[in-house]
Amino acid sequence: MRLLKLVVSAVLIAAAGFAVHRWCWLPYRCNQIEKAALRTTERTLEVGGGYTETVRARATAQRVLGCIEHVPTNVNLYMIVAANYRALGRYEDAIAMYRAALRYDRRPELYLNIGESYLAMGNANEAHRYFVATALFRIGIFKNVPEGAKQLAWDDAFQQLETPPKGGYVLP
Amino acid sequence: MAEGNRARTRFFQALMGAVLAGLAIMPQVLVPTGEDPYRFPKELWVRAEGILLAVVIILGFLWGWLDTRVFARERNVFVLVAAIVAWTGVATIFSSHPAMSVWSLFYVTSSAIIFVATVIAAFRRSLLFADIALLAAVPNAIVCILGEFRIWNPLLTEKEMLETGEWMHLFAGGFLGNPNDVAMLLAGPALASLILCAIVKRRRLWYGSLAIVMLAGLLAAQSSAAIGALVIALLVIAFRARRKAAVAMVSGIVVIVAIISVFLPAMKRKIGGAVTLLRSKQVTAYEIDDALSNRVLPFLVASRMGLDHPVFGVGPGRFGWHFYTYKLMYEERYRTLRKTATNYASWAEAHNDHMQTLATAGFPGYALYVTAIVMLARRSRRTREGDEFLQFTRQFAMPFAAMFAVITLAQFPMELAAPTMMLLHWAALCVAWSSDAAA
Repeated sequence: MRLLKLVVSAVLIAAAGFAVHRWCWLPYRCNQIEKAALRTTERTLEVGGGYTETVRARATAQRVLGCIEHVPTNVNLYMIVAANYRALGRYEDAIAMYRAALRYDRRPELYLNIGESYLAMGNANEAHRYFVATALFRIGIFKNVPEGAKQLAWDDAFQQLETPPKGGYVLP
Repeated sequence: MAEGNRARTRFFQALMGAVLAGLAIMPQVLVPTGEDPYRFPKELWVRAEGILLAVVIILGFLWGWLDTRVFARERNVFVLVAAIVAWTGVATIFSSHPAMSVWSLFYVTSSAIIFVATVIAAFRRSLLFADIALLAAVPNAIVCILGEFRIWNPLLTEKEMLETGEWMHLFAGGFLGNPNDVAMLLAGPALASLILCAIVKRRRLWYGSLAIVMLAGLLAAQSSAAIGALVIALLVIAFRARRKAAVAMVSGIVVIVAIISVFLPAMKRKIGGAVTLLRSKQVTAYEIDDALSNRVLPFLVASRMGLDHPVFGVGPGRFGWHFYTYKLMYEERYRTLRKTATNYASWAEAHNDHMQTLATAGFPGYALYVTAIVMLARRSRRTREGDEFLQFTRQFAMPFAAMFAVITLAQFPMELAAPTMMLLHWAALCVAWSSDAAA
């Protein structure tokens, strides 16, 4: 009986150790990785294309992807990976990341970034849909969008805001 | 037999040590190298503490150091805790995104385990439970005061904040990052230290000094919700006191509130806004929103969410995801809300734990929430006169329940690790120290 209790105690302590490592320590490390990755990504986007930036973007995306598994509800992680994918010209992968993030939070920045990615791919129709959603949520945040596309999105968004569609707002 | 008793004593001492160490350290946890240096590390601490205390309690039962009769002493409370965890689990299953809600379930379960461990440990009465809880709040109170006078902040510099245009009052965020969070942390200890000062005559100077520190920290944080909640708690004490004492207390409270209103800019603004609103002939949604610190939209959204999902809510942790759809709907109905200062914001929390519970866990979840507050308040009436522990519970429980009910009308302490742990700790002491009440 005592032996059984000892075995059960050992298993419990080991399970607790695993749980603390998996659900406390790794997310803690990911919090630190997120801060470092954000700085690196900002530098990559500032400097633009180049071999060093490409390598850096690839490494940052890989590192942060590992963290998404441990902290799946952290939208910033998806955005960092997607930003690095965009720096690498992998727009479809970036859009997939942004869409994955939309399941956890519906920030206007996500819609804006998807729109910009579609625009970079040359898909103006899809880009417009996402710019309208951005304008519905937060009109003032367009930065890198061409003036014409911005105006079209605003016009459609204002139309929806003034006379909302019968079935509710159209969100992609 | 003697060895068994020694083992049991050592177990309770270890449990007490673990509970108090957790409470003492957690509000001070700060990770400067993390993207979120304040809230997320504390939430991780709660997870870790919950896991470790669960193992300690299970080992206690396994080795006979803990008796199942301990749960019989406060059966209703433990049943309520189990019901809260169970309902959170049910709401998670029926959530609009269970994979996201499961993390909220984790948080609720960890908090419940810490609460249960505190109750069990505190059955062996000791003022150390109160002392450590008060001392745990002191560093944040002091750092908040230093920040409010722009003397020091652990992470920020005034220059950086001026350059980035951040809200300067964040400098008084203590180790929690936001002065409102600090206020939510200090409210319970402020009330407790005042009551302990009155009851424990031999340590009046000690508790009096701690009360001054807590109150100063609360004023420095300038949270109207926390100050208002403390005032309500003091009025509840006055209401329950004898007439002469009640009159003196109410007069004192009125004078203090008047002084606070004159000298604290945030309170002056709030009262001024409320007076303007009451005197207005035509009131728009924008004006009401401005008077309520831009809370109208999240309040409307949370109540609508609860009505639209009355049984299970939208799921724990899912308020933020659903917010935008409702926001657009209400801004279409009340177009002046499009002018508010926080129009662009996505509210991840309703800033009202009553409504957020309703929105995320439905009416059954909110019923459990209200039951917990009522059961806590009833401790004051159930507890007979007796030693200082019984006296403390008798004087503290009802005002504390009132304070909690009020502060959660405008803030969200139950979504933040440090305020949650502090509030649950004092609630646990009310349970453990009144456990003779049934006799």
